Amino acid sequence: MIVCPHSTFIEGVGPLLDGLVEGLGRYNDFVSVLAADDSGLSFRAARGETGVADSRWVQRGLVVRAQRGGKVAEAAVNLPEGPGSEALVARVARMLDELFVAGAKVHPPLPDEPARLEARGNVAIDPFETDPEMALGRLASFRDALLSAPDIVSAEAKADFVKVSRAYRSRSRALVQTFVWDQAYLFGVTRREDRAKVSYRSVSGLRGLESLDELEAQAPALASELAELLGAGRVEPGEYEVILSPAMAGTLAHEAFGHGVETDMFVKGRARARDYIGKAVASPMVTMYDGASGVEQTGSFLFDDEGNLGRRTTVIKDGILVSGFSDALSALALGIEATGNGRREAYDHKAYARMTNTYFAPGQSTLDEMIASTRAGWLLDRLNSGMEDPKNWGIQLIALVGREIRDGRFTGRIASPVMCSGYVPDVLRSITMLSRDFELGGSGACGKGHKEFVKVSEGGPYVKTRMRLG
Amino acid sequence: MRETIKAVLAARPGVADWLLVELRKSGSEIYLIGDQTDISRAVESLNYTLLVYVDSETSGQQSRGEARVTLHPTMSEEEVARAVDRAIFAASRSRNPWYGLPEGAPPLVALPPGGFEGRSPASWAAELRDAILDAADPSKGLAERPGAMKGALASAPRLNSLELFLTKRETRILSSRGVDVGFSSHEGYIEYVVEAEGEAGEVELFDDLRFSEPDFDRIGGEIEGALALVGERAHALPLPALAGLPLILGGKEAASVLAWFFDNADAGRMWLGSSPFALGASVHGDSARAGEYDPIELAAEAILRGHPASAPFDEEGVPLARHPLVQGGELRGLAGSSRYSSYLKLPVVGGYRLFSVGAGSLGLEAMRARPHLEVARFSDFNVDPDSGDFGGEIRLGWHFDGKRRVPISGGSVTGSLFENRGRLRMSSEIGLAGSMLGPRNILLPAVSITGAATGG
Repeated sequence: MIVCPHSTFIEGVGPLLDGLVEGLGRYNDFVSVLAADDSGLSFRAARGETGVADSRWVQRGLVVRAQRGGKVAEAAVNLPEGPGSEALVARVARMLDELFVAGAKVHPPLPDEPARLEARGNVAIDPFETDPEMALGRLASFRDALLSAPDIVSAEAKADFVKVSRAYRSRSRALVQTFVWDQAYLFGVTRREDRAKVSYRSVSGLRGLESLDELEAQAPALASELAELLGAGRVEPGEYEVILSPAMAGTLAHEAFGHGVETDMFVKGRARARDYIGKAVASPMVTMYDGASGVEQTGSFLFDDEGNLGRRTTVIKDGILVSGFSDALSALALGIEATGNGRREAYDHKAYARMTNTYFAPGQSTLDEMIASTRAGWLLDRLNSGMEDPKNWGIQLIALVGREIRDGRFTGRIASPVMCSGYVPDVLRSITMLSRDFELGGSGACGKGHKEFVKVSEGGPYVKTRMRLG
Repeated sequence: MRETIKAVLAARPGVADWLLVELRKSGSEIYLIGDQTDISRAVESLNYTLLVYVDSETSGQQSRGEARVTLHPTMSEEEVARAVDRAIFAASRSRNPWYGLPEGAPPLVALPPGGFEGRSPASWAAELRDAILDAADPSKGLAERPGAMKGALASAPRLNSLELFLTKRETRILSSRGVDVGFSSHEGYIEYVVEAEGEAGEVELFDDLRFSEPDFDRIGGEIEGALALVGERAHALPLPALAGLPLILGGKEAASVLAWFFDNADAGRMWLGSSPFALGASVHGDSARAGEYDPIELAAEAILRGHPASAPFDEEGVPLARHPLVQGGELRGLAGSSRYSSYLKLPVVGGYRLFSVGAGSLGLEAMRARPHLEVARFSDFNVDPDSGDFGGEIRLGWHFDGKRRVPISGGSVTGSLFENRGRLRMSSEIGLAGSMLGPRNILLPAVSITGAATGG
């Protein structure tokens, strides 16, 4: 395996960060600086073309957080100010001065426990040092395999590799981390006359170009699925038994008690879950986690964007809501410990309480047993999107593929898309089976509202429950 | 930095063409919980996006590869050179059909001043915050009502939280083909949550708004409108099981349905095989019958007053103007980059982010005259550009059974634009919503409605 080196910028930025902490520390009670230098490559093969570009996640810059008289402000910059830190200190000081306005909230003092840590990830095939032709050639062959199937009018194969390189400094903390995450997709559009359907396969992790092997293995199944989807109908509206694939189940976890226990939502009075800590919110067989540590996926890291170390939080234990997860400011406001979930879309975005890797713990059943136990329901797969409603506990999931089950067997009928909705506690309390499988997927991005996208993963086992479908 | 990049490019003869976009941003952000500032932020940044193009020839066939690289102002000259060299190498590994970059050309339209000029984003942000808090003041409306009670004030719809962003954006676009243009604009954005007390507890609604002008009436009006809607959600009933009703959408949801037509009138989607449309054919489908739908009149727009995506040039420096794409329901042209326009042997009219749609035949009141389901807010309304499938879970809507109009919540609607495009009706009232100036409301006749279960 190849150990990922820190970026040149991150290797050399330490003195600048120390200068900012020291210089701005003269005017402020607390100062921290996060430096980010994330590089990335995006390889793509679509119909009639291939291309290479920087990933959309590329960034380089600094964000300074300062606390003065309890008020908190941040200044984000990426402009050079010449050698040394003095000029940058002066610039950031000017920006901060304008932000400490009368009437702003007085927060408790930000903690600054000592820590000095460094972490570097590794990959088998380094995407940044390999001839791009290798990745493009393989993606083009995946694309061509899809396009050779009847009725597939458009196909795209894409692979992203992002090297995250970050450094955090405060008076007591010096943290550095570098690792690579990957995501790759195969996407197809099938169309015949006035019908069009889409589906995909995706893989993700903390790997290099070796991830393409996993993607390649999934191409034949995608072609077959697209052919089936042209004959897909719709589900008759109603409530059904549903078996959610690990990706769908993970998104249920994510939307139901992921966003719902982000503790900045507690502070705003936007999350009903705050009143349910210590109470039953799900079937006793349900245990759910969120954490940057404990699993290796796209939501993993050593420290978050506020300099707090990642950990694993037990959100639901045996059906009881145990804990939320926090960014630094909401933890302060609530008098709880920060859990290492303070994350930013980029250095020039605010940190919020965000998910990392969110999943249900596996159960004891097999998928076959779950199907056999279903009288009238649907197996739902290929997540399209999900949306939370933490105050009112509604939930929306869209599956691109639904397969009908009657009397314990697949009928051969397929539906696309399938809109799933429900009242969160009803859905979680109705869980009757969880499979022994465990899969995490991190090929998407999670927004807060409709912005502030961060990489997360989600998953777990197959989950059987009841939902309204349409 | 700009000159460093140009010098690095000039020293590399393997670069057939290049395109450089420089974006300088200066912004102010205020995060409110209730009426108190929780945290304030300032952002100053400068970024360069460089595309390099490398040509090659195989068996007499000329091809072109491109690669995009982001360059940061803190990069040394050596780092810039290394990044450019990597991009050149990567571009040499793509061999796509050859196309030329657009030549430099003067603007066709001028970006009008938005009104934020002359003062810092921080200063304007503070004024916008005050205006929004004034619009959201729960005592304002009540004071005007005779006999207003203190209890009514306590339970009145209110602002839960607000995020306010105001960013000055200065864009400059340069290319090896003589493009050298620049323009400046302001982008305002608010994201807000309003809440109200109902019989079953507190409810909320989420919304956001993009703007480019200090139009306090428009911004305040959006907040007041949201407060009125959340008041309705507080008393909404679960959506009953319904069938056979048409769906009325408004605002951003109506715009996102009509954006399906705009998105698919795109040279890139046509080249990639994703668009279901064909030049010269009806976007309403072959089976659409005259009189059963409102034929779409759709144009790509460079500038929509008040929209921050207004721009006199696209990302390649192509001058933008108003460009009709669909006339009388028939696809007459495609917008898109020089690459895809060239592949399709079409004139290069540029890539557009904004569009307009002509007014429809029905007034909103006429749309509402027959039994229907109208939805004002979804959890997340989704329109798939490829499949044309749409749907979402309902946060607030109204069911009209022919006699009574009842606010409803919960449940969901789904449908397909392939099944609706031949019977689509649009309102005669128009307004700005999403990325569109167009009908404020649309009517979709073929939808599937899932009722909300009771409980909770």
